[in-house]
Amino acid sequence: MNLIKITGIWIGLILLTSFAIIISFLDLNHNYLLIAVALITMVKGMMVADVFMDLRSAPKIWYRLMASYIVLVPTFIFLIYMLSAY
Amino acid sequence: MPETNLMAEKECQRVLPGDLAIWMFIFAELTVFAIFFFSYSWMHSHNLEMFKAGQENLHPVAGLINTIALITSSYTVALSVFFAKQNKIQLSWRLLSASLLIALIYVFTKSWEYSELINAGYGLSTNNFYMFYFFTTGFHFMHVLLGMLILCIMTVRLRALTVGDSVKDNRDTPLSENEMLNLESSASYWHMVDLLWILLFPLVYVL
Repeated sequence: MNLIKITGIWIGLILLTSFAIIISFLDLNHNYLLIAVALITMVKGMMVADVFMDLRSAPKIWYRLMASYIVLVPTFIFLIYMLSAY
Repeated sequence: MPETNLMAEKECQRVLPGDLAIWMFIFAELTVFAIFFFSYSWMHSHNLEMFKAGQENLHPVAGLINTIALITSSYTVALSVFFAKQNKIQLSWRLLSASLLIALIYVFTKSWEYSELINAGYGLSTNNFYMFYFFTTGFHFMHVLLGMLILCIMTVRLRALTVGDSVKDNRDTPLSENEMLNLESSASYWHMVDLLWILLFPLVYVL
């Protein structure tokens, strides 16, 4: 973990949050919005787990558990919205 | 040396930041919140009009302020751990204090949002949207308060080290292994609070 990386991640998180808000105001197709938001959320979650929590240097089982959570939860939420539309 | 031995050695060098117990607790909390997120999504996808009308009464700018506050607070906590590892204890506790001040922005903004909605006549029993909104964000709010209490205790403990006799003449004295473990555990809990908001924010304000 180094200072530049931590600061870069902080700036990246703020930019991605602002981007999510901006696209919510655009008149996007709801499915595209869902995909974009799910991907942004996954990227933000991995940034927090990798650098802020420093799980990259933790035993792999803990890193994989957290990465699975960050990928699976938005994916299931996306599927819930998608399946209910049909 | 065989490759399997090298891999095993590398795995042994990996260390979990903080105490094992806090990580068990973190994953238990994440599981509970996942159930809330799935329930909210299910209810939202089956009551689109009700949830859309409810979301129109929320303040996306307040949601953005809260997100930036929690992300920034998490950043200063990560910096605090970084400087504690560099034996800069004074800088470390000052960064923890900054995290607490930034977290207060979240507390005030969320309280203002709640008071606006309650004054407009909305509450837990209004409809399913408000029930989920108040319950999920309220449960997260309680975690923020608990995280702030933990950070506050850690700040006081680190500050006490920098004014103690043993460190007065040498501010770069390293933290004890136990105290570093406590700091990392507190930081991990706070990052979990941030991570949960990162998942909750788009559900409530964006989708």
